[in-house]
Amino acid sequence: MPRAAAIGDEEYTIETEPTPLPREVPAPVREPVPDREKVPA
Amino acid sequence: MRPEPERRWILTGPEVMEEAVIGYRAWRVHASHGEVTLTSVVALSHHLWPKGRPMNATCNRPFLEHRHAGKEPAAGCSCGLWAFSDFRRLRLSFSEDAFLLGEVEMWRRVRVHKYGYRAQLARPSAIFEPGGFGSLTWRQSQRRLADLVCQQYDIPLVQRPRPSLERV
Repeated sequence: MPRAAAIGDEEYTIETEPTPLPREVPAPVREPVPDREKVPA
Repeated sequence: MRPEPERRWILTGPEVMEEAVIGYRAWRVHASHGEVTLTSVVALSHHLWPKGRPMNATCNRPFLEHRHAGKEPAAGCSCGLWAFSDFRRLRLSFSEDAFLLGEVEMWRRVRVHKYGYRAQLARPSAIFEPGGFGSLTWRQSQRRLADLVCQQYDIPLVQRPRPSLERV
């Protein structure tokens, strides 16, 4: 690319780091709700 | 006030991503036996942009002891992979009749300048549909070249961005 004049003076620096892909959080397993009629009193 | 650099998350390896700065730059194209390679705009440059992996900056100072090996892009040096932050400025600097213009993703160490960037790692992310004022035949051949580049680098051919209204 062109010399420094084309992109002007340096202002600051950005540093990035490799980041692991976010893993999909599995949906919570729902305990089956007991049938009210079958629940002993 | 100067706008913040345009950034996006990109995949840089298996299961790894990084936040890249988006820039705009020009390339020459080296074509041989159906194989096309993007090269630096500097004539006689041997910097070929690889396919399927990022370009790594190397300091080319004439004396080995003055090179910033492993620290590119170094402060106060011109080393690093260059791009403009604004498409309009790119178009004012490079004729579409002579170069392919496109978008580049830049990451790891990026020096932010007033009108552009110098980066440690970069890869082309899109080629812009060639414009220019050449003859119809010339424009058609530029379009074929752009198509080949996109096919071999596995990147899209896209419309040019709308130039920002910012004064350049």
